[in-house]
Amino acid sequence: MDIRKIKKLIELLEESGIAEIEIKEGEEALRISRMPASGLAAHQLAHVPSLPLNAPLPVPAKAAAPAGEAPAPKAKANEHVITAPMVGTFYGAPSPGAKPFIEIGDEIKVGQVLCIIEAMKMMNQIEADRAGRVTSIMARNGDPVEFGQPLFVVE
Amino acid sequence: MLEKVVIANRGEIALRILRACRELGIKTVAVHSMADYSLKHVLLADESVCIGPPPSSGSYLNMPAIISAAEVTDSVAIHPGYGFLSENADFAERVEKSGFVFVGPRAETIRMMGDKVSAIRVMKSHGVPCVPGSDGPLGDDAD
Repeated sequence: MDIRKIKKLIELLEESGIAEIEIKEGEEALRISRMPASGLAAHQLAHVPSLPLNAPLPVPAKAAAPAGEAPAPKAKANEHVITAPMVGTFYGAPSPGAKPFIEIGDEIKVGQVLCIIEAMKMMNQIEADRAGRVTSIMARNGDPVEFGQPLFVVE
Repeated sequence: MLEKVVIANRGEIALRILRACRELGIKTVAVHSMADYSLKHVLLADESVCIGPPPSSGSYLNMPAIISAAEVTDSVAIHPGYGFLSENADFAERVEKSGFVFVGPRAETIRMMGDKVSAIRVMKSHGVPCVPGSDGPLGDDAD
């Protein structure tokens, strides 16, 4: 099968919007698959950049963020997912019954406290690393959170 | 009998702990780094917690993260396996202080026997015959 033909097929695939195409011609077989948006594929995709022990950590950490058990909604281009920097218990408010730090729709600034993660009896305030508008809060009060788990989506 | 144990190690070591726990009917919690979420022991454990980034300094050697993982999963004990934090007396102490069982020697024992010089000193004081040696740490050798 020559390269031009394969290129044609890829173009065809891109135009059509189908996810995968498999062609058999005599002894040759070819399968072209678009990056599927399914959770599993996102898993594998996200995994690759996190494997080498890269020095600039935050980037692979962010990329691998949706790799948690529950396939998180894929972040859109203008969205930023804030993930848990540590293991612990999530609290959305400074004390029980108090007003939450942030609510959906709030405008947040860099450095603003978003939530508390309790680890080893220590209350750790988690600050925003990006400014924007909160579109989603993915953890509830008292939820256990693990490292890298998505907590907020900021637009 | 322990009810639920955190396995603070990875790979084959973790699998061996996991198998022992299964045989004894103990529930397991695998803690893992971001790079290891698909390792066998993570998939086989009853629960799993991601505790840090791929370098072990942020995950398998991260004492607060491991102890927090035990807290959020309501575990009763932490098994360090070998390597990593298994011979770290401070870790053993912090685990016990946080109210968990450290599956391994007491912190004092690790302090006493983990270091060869102090181990020989203790053995000699108890009349255990030892091969003659330097009787203490050697000085620096330029070569």
